[in-house]
Amino acid sequence: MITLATIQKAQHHDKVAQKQLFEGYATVIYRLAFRYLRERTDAEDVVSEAFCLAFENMAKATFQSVPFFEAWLKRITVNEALKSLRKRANFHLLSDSEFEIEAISDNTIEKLSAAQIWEIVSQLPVGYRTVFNLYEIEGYSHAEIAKMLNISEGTSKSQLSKAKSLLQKKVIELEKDYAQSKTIR
Amino acid sequence: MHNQKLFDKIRDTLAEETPQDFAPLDWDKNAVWERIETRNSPRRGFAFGRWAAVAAAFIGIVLLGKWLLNPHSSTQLPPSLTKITPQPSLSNPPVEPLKVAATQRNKAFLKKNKSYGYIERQLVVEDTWAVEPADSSRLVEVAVQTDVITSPPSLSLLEKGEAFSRAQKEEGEAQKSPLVLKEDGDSGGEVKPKERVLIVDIDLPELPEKPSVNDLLKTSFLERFSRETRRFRTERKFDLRALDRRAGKGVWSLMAHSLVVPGSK
Repeated sequence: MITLATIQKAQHHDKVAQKQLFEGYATVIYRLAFRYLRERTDAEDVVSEAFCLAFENMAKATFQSVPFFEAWLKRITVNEALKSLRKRANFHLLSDSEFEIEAISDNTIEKLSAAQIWEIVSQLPVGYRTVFNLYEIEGYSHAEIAKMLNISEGTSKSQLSKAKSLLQKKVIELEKDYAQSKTIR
Repeated sequence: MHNQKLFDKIRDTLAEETPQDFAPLDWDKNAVWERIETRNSPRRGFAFGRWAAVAAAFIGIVLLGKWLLNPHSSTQLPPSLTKITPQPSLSNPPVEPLKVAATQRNKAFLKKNKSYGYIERQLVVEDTWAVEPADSSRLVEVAVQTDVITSPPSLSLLEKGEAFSRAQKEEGEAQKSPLVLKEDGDSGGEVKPKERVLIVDIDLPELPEKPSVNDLLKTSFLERFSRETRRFRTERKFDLRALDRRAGKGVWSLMAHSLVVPGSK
């Protein structure tokens, strides 16, 4: 259990408190990094970098509650993940293409497992996935995303729209596969 | 918006749930923590080393300043002073910390009839090294006035009588010196080692006297001729005055000057 006292001890470079913070947030931070990077080693690098930066700079910051620290740590992780993505040569946004949006039944949505959701999201192209994660999961606005990725707001909106269309398409494909498998049985 | 329910479920799942059957989410947490610890340790060491370097530099500056401002430094002694290096004896333990004392006395007073204006100044240095005195009788003659070097008056301004009275006064003080008393008290026991340093000798210039015959012989011919001519002219002037008083009036008074020759009186 992470408390404000633990965070304050870690601010004074207490090793035990830092270890407690790592144990408490390591999985969340790794998951966050993996959503952007889709590579285990890259995600581990980002986790270590994010925690190192947090331990070095948390003495300068003031945290009124535990969620403040969690949001601060996640922000550091997102920035580090984006930095890692920029280092890759394949970080580019896809050109416009049309997707037909079909309605998905509630039954199909309820049947989706967590593993399936992680799978279809990680299959998204890096540009779509990044904007989708920033907007839908982390809650950044298009203006913030445009600033972080050095793109225009319109591009951010269109990338998000296309990411959602692609996700729907993949869910429908899963539904078809599920229906086929059900018919075969 | 279309399929909003789908995106809500995706958002909730990605933000909070960790699927157990999703292999890529298995990772080596301990290895990452070791990496974090390794990265943090050298930086702490560097920070400590930086503070240690600052402290060492500060101590160095303090020691350097102390050394430069040391009043006992040999660099502050006047260039006319000469220091007699003592021969250390390891058989005796160190006695006292460094002390410098000055004494001023008239050596002429002790020798009475020779030179009154001869004043000797002595600097007595007691070092931490034990020193065997070469001549214990000379140690008794050393008069310690104070524990610090005092600025003496300019010796060139002293008259002979003043120097004499001063030397007489200091001779009396020297006999009451604690060093002398201490040595007297220690005469039955151990001899306290001391280092004595003779600093400077100053002679007052003598008054000019009438040159002797030998000095005259050493002078050049031109000087001797000039001196003899001056003396002859002076004697002649006095002879003429005497002749004027005796000559009276008349023709003889007109001729008397021409008949006067040296040694005719």
